[in-house]
Amino acid sequence: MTDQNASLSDVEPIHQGEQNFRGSLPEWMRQLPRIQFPPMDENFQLIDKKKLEHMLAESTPEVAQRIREDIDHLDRELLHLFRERDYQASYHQNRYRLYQVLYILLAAAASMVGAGMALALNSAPHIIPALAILEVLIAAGTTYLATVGSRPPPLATWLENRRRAEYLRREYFRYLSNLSPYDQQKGYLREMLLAKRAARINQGGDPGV
Amino acid sequence: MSTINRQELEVRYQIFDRFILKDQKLYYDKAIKRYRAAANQVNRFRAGSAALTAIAAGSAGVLVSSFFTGGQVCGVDAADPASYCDAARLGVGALVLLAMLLPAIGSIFSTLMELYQWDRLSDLYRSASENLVVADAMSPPEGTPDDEFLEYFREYAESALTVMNAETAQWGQSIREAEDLKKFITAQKARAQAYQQDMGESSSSRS
Repeated sequence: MTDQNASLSDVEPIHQGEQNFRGSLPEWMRQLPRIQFPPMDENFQLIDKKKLEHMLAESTPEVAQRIREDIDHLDRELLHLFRERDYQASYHQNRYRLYQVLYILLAAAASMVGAGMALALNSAPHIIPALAILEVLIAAGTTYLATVGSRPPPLATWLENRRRAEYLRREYFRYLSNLSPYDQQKGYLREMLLAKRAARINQGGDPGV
Repeated sequence: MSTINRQELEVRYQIFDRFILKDQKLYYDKAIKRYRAAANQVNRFRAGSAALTAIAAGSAGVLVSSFFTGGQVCGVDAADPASYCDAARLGVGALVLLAMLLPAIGSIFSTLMELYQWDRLSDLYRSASENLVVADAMSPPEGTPDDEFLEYFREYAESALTVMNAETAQWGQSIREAEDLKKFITAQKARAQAYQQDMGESSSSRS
């Protein structure tokens, strides 16, 4: 079998995020969290429809029709669940990292203030009260962030949404490839099976058979 | 029970190959490159700030022993301090300040490394990418007879999905909060609570 798209080195994998985000910055800065997270892409697809049509153009109309019907059904029953889970995972990942980066900055500020106090003890004792106030502000800021940042807990919410999103993505291609258990059913029974399994995966449970 | 004919199976195989297997492999390979680049950049900053801290602390020590210790021109008991003593004092102060600030900056990059876990995730994705190559090797060869094509396709697709499933499970286990940050948050909460108690006690003693 030959791959229809031989060179993939210059293309991006399919994902909901912005392509080439912060492209001019060093890589580690490109991965820093955003302050304003963009809204969900309501039209996101797991398959590039243009490339798909190119593939289907080489098959018979009956085959192309059956595959289009499968994709339409996947769009109705599964894709909206995937989009939401994938977006929520990215949103909470960003939220988790944003809080962690703020904690990192506060921790660095706290150690600078602490070192400043040790240094000022002999050379400039008059600035000690100001540094002490800064220390209180850092403690208060950290407590505030820890309180507002824990509802809902970003790490657990990120991981759970990512797990379900990836499961839904695999299910999408399981159905489209007619793998087990979809190869055991036909027609509306096969479609119902997808709807049931997608709903269970989205719920976080075992889809069963 | 599959009633799909050979031609349809081939199209479905091509869709799977292009839109999940190749796409997932591309994702792993690009992520490895990006994570390695980020890890190298941050590691350089971390090493740089450690080296600069040592240089600043060492230079401050040399300046102090050269100009300020007993009997030297700028020492506290020097009868006639030289004109450059103020500049030397400023220099020592700046170097001491740098020796204090640079470790804090270095710790920002160390904790970033721990937060993003670029090294660990690169290893995980490299292994997953290699496993996908193994799954890809199970793809139906050219000229596979119709009755064997379905079995080849199933094995190939199930293997690829298993690799992705395993990678997601391992990825979930490898993500955890940085220990230093957890300790910092706990300590700061305790400190804020202590301040609050102090304030409460002083206001009640006043009333």
